[in-house]
Amino acid sequence: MGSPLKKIMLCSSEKEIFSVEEQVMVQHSVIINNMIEDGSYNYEESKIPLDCVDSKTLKKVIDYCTYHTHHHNDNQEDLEAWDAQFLNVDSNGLYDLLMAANYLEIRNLLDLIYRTIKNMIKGKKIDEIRRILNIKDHGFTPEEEEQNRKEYPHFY
Amino acid sequence: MTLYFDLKEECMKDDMPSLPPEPCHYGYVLVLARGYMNLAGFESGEFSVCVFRLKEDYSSPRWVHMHSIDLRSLTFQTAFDKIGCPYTYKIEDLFSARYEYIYSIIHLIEDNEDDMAFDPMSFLGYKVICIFDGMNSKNKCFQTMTYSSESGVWKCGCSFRPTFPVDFHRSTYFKDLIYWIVSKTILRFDLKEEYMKDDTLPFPPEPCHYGYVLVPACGYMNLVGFESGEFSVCNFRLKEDYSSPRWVHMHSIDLRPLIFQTAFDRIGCPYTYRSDDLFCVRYGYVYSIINLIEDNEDDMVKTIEGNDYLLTQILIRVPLKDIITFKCVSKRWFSLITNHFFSRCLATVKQRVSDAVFIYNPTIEDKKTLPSCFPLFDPLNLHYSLAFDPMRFLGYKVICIFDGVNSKNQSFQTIIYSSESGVWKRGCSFLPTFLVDFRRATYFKDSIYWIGSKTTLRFDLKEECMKDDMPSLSPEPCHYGYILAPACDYMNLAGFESGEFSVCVFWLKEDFSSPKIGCPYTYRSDDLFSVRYEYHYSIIHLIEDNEDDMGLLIHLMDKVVVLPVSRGILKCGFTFSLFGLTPPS
Repeated sequence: MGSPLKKIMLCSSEKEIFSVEEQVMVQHSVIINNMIEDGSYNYEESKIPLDCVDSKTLKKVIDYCTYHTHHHNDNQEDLEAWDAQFLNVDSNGLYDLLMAANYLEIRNLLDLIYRTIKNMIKGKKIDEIRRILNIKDHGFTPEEEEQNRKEYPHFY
Repeated sequence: MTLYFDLKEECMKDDMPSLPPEPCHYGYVLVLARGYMNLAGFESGEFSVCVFRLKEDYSSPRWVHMHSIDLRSLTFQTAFDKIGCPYTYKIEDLFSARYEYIYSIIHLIEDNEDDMAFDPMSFLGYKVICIFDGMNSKNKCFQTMTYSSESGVWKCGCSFRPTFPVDFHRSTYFKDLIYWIVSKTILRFDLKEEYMKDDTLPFPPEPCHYGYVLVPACGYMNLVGFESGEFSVCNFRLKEDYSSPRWVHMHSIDLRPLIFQTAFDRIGCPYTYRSDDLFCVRYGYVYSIINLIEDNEDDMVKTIEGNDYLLTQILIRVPLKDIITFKCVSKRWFSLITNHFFSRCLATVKQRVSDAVFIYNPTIEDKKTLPSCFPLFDPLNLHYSLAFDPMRFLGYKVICIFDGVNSKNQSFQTIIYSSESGVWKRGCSFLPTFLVDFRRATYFKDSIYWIGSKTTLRFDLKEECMKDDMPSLSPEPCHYGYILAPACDYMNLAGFESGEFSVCVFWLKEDFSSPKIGCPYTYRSDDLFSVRYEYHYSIIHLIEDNEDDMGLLIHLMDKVVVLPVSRGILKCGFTFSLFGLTPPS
């Protein structure tokens, strides 16, 4: 684990460079922690290319990591309120965040997004879930689909 | 048999001759070269390689045997002379010839010293770089000549002198540079300035014994090689910033499970590696890398529906009653929910507990909280072991083992806390081929031991790596409890013998280079006669009684019995007394 003052460079898919405290990313992202630990990161010259994370999403991810690094002693309610506010984005934004968190292996952010999506679909009917998650092709044959609808009408 | 698809008639043909009579155990290679279709394969006995050529006359197609090369001599210089094409096959070309008779055919290549550079994305036309050995011209350098399709003429290029052997047969072009793999580094030829770069590229830190492959894919130059230990393949990507080039470790794939579908998921590029892609995976750990291919430009899954892992992670958080409903959402959801992995994940998430770790010293009643080992893993999958031996080193170490199943590379990972440094450090990863109970760890002389289904696993604290060099457990497996206990300067193993009427104790020979389990002390069934009928006994522990004597603690029904085990009286026939200890009421 490096010294807290060091900065690392993250490069978004638009080639925009973000400078972040090393400790912030190391504490949250497994991938970046691994890069720092195995010495494949060069402080002078290298930047970490995050080709599948756009600038808007990367900024949010950094916000999340920074806040949680500096406020991890806050009480749980405050943190949860901040998280809820943080994830108040449209579904595309949520999807981008999920992909970025998965790419960088940020476990607690992933967990937060999983729970958020879970709450979006919990207790919903099948047709609603298909609409929320934009599932166009459910893969069942028309006969199977009809059979299901007949068998479990209350699911739909 | 070979199948081929006729592009003129647009149909699949199977009128090919059967493969040459002598069957080979592995990999034939079909290659177009010299205007013919060629087939290369091992001959039976596998000491030689043969090359067949397909006759042009397809109406009666036959494989013509062209050459056989005996691999035993490993000098192929003259093997091809007789057809007038002086191919030279170096051992490196068959780059897995290592031990026994284990070779694999990589490819049949059209051999020429001319390396072509053609990249319509960066320049029109093409350039050909010819490299020849200047030995005869008395200055011992390699010379280059450059042909450009623009000028249409050959131009004398730079000369250079590599300080190490270079395999000029395998060149790779990528973005204005031609790359060659050298024994310890990578050589580059700059096409813009037309000179051989002298700042060679070092290989990534972990050295591999054979064959790296250089391949441009997905907009980067990639290097694929075996990791040390040779159980996994790693992929490095060359950073764009050429001023200080460094290989970025992208992935490692463990070859043992041979399921690569998800190995690359976490970088968002779902490459699929089929075992056929590594087409000589046969016995032992004998693989070779064929090539790295570009699967898709940038294969990001656009909806969460496409990502099984993420979808599973969401679904396991959904209440169980919803899960029943969700089976009907789509076929994919149905298959995910009915999958074994799903039910296992569900159990893990539900039992999430606090992940604080304490070190407790009962003699001084001192408690120390360890820093949380980064990052927030599922605590249920973490197994801690303490290595504490004031006779050998000050301080202590804590080894944390966690199941990498969730991180998708299927192996176990270790992180090590040392009281000296006060921080957690990432350790090795490993994949035992048998079940191991990581909950019960035993420390003894710089190693931590765990009992597995077939043998014990040992973590070497000096080398900080997992060793699988322990002897297997006594031949007939016992259904329950082996106990590992250090006593009388030895590591001891106590377990039930088959039939379970007798107990045996083994001690581990000190000589780790060829470890063997020592002589068993056997307790006959009569000794446990009182409880024989329902197997109501279990081994509790093996303790040191005094310098040479040990006591085996056995739980019998409602009491504890100590059976003395003496090293002095090794030959059977020793007697011992059973003295029951009534547990405090």
